[in-house]
Amino acid sequence: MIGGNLNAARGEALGRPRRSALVVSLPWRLRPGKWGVIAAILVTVLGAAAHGTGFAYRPATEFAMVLPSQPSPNPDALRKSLARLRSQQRTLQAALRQKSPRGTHLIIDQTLNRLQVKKDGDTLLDVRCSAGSGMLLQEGGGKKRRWIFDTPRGQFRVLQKVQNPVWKKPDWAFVEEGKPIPTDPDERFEYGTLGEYALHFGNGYMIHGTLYERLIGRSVTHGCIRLGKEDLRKVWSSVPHGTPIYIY
Amino acid sequence: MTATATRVSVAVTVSLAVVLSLAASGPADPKDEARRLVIQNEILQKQIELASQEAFCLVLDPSAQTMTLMLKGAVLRTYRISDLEIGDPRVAFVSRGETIGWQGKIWSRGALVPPRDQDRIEIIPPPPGAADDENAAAPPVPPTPEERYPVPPRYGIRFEDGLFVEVSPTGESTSGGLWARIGAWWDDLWEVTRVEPTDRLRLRLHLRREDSEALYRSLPPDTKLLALPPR
Repeated sequence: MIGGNLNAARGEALGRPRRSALVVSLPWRLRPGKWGVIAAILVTVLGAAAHGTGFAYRPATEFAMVLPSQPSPNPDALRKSLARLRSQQRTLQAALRQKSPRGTHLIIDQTLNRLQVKKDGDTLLDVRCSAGSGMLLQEGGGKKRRWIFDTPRGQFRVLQKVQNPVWKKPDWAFVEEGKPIPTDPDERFEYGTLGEYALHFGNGYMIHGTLYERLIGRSVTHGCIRLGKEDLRKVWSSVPHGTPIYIY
Repeated sequence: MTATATRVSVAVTVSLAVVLSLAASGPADPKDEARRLVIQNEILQKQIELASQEAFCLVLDPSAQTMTLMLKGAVLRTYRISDLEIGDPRVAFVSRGETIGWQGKIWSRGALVPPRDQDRIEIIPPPPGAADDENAAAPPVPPTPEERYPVPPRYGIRFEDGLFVEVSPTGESTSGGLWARIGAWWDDLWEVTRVEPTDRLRLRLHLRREDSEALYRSLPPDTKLLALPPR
């Protein structure tokens, strides 16, 4: 207030009108004091409402599951009910255990390019691999076929184990290289490209070796899973025919 | 004499505490036990149902502080949770959410927000006859997963029927600077004041940075979620 008066006095001295004179000349209804109070109340109310609007977070430990209410049975019926529920629980637990894989199985993270060999909850091997590049290939000319090189997600099984596999090149391999698609099937066979071993898991997809080990860990394949030479040997020796493969 | 009295009073207090604690930890009420078994069995049935489907699912276990990605009963990856909070939408302190019944329910069609878009590279095959050209350009080397999918500092998984799981790395503020905080507050305000809010419940998970990034990069589409009740 003192500062305001001093400023007003300075304004008067300089020939400017006093600010306080303007306030006094206004009707009582329009006095800023009242509007100020109303504005302050509004701001406070709206601010409080806004503060209480949004998502209120609390620790998860505060949320226990609500137990269903049941009529009070007699002690004998309750005892029988408890026995039945415990027996049902044992059956359900056994059924759930049946669903989970027993023995050796493979887990493949096709985005992060990791392959794990697991057995009864233990990780026997955790290595880098290469999965599908996700690239697109469009065929030129009149055919206009299109391929997407993704590794499929889901549950599969080792259907076939092959030593010294020979690659029967599909059409896309020729299209990608800009070569004509051969009419003679013998021209499709390529030796040594897939490494020492191949484990087929359906629809032409395999886990196999590579000539380009420096690219292991990157998504470079046409959908198959590539492994380094030593890792492929370990997988080959630890994974029997029929082993489940889970790819995510 | 005073010391003896003190010793006696301490002994009596300790004995009383032991007796009371033993009484408190006695056998549970059979009715509560029956209700607990009913719930546990329902959850087991849901887990069997999930394990029988082709869909990927996340099993959130607040008691074990884990979230597990599963497929047909197989554990694909376990993410360790350091902190879990539950948020319900409120307008002027009045709740509009559903904090009851979220556990034990199968939440479907989980999708990342923001989505993990894959920018597909198209292979341009060389023209016929140029295949053996030594000067032909080498095929492009695809980026690493880290280069290909940058992870936003704040992301979530939105499920059908109104569940949103917000994920952030442990020990790091997800709110960012002042403008980011104001933006997030505005988004929340907009969300909760809608006639039909998309999120009726939010779970806020803090994971190790490695797990948080791996979850964003590897989460399959249309994942389901089952939250287990506390044990």
